[in-house]
Amino acid sequence: MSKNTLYDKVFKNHIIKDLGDNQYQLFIGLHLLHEVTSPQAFAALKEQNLKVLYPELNFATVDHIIPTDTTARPYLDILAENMAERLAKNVKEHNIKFFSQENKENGIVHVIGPELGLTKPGMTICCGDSHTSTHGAFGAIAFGIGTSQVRDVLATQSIVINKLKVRKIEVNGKLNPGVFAKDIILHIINILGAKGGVGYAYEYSGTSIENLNMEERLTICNMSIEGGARCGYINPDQTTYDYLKNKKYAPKDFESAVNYWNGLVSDSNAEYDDIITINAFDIKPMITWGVGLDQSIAIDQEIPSSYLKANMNEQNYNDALSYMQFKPGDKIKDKKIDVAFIGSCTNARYSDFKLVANYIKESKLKVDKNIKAIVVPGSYAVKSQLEAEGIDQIFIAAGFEFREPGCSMCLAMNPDKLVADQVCASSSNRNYKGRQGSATGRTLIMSPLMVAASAVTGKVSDPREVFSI
Amino acid sequence: MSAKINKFIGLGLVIKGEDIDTDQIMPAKFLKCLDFEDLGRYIFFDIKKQFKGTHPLDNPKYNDAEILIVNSNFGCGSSREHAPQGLKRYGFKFIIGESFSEIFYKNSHSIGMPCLILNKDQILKIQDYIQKNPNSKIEISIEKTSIKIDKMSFNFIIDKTSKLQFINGDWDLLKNLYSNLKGIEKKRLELEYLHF
Repeated sequence: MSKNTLYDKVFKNHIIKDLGDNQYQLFIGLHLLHEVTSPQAFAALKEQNLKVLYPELNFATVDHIIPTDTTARPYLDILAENMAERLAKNVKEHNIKFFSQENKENGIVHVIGPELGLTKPGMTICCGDSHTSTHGAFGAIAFGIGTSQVRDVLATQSIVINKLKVRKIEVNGKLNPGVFAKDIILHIINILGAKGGVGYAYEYSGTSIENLNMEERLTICNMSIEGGARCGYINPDQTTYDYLKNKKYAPKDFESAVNYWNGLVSDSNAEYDDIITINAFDIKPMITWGVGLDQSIAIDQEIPSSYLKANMNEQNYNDALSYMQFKPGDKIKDKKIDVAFIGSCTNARYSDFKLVANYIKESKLKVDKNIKAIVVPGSYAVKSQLEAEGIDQIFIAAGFEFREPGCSMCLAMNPDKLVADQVCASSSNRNYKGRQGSATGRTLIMSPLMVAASAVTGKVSDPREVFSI
Repeated sequence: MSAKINKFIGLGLVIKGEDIDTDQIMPAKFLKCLDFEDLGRYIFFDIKKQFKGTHPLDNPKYNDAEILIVNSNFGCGSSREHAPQGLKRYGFKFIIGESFSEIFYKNSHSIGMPCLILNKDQILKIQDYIQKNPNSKIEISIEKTSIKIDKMSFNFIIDKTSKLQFINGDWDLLKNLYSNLKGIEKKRLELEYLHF
């Protein structure tokens, strides 16, 4: 049993009632809502004649279904329009703050939470969305829930949940050139497996993690769920506080808040259920080759030549290869791609685009003529900052489409979809079968810079070679 | 109070594969809805197409199946409750598996579709047996934590709290949470960060 970790302290702070057998009624400090997983929860409230208990602890955005090529209403997709309308109606009825698409503060739920300072250390945060783990980057205990629990949180600001074990994942040392936060988390999932984190909260620590900025930390925590861990977190430090200060929803008494937050950091003698250590030197630019997030290799490696080498069962291995139309032992590098997507709650923040734009500008490279390449900012704040600095023009000049914010092609609930068995180089978080809107579409998950490198060459490429890093 | 769930006898259906994600169970295009009513018809929609008629869900032998038997990390990925809602509305009442993603497990609990856990060898044995004997009845008792199929008998894993919640019909937790409004308000006042 873990002891004196941030997870232990924050969890304990929020226990309303011990229900026995490791189950607790837990208070939820921040509840985020979006249009896809909330309508049935609001309908259930109405059915039972219940109101939202603390509207001021609930915030809503619309992100999954919105088109990124136009903001015109009504949306062409009547189902999408219905969902957006229903959310607007529900939040109005229950007096919940709503960042609608017309609002400058709109964006992907896991991008705007941190950006507005809603996400803070020491909180419990829930959303009907598995990537809620993202918010753990601030030292919050943040996790996804289903619609029934969205209803529970609306009505009682609490849920029933079991306490997790805690695994410390320590990454130490300087990152190799051309290696980014995305590569760290893909490397971790590769080692621990897609179900390695079931039953655990992941605490990411070590010098490599401490040296990351907040946006990079968000990328790491975002994909905890892809490793099976319902939540992942990083202890707050000066980097966290510097980021938070002056944000719209940052605490007014910031000094008291910092004192409180410092007390929540895992003790130096904290006990963990498991500890693993990773040397940053071993991490290379990573890419997935299959239909699970642990089916990954370094860009210069070959696709495992057998299921044993892939550390998979035979059925899943054969199935993944057949879906991806790859052969055992194939090189992943130089595989032809059709679409390049930079976006999603994993990698659509200012620094993601800024970094890519710097390399694009310096190299003067252009998107290959056969490739559809789209850049989708994670929020209107990200979009306007990029525009203010002319970064949008760098992308456009290089042949990328620069879109309106939204979840877009990460899960393709809007018009941005793959067609037939197209291959997409994607900075998003899931390579599942059919994930990007076509039942036979193929997704290769990688860092934003690898997406850009692949967009300009038209095939899977090593960013270190393309951009001479 | 929700319905009591304890003893059940029904037919099984096997879906093989590790790490079956909720995108496979319920593709995102079907999440564009305001209620869960129609979701039963869309489970494994795209995957079934790829099986070209050979998917177990397309096999008339399994038309009356009410117990789904799966492998490990079933329901991983997206938190969409639409996945277990679809399975339930299709007609499944229980899922037996080696392991489940936590969000899927909780979602299934919340809608009264218990996920029962056996070890890998037991699951493979049952899957093999049901594939060969699709008409064999599976007998479940939550109270006795037992699963019986013809001459075979197994004891599944379930935590005591969930077990009692199913037996007593208290698995819909909202009422339980709501009965403690005082405790909730006390915690709200006590949490320092809500008042900085």
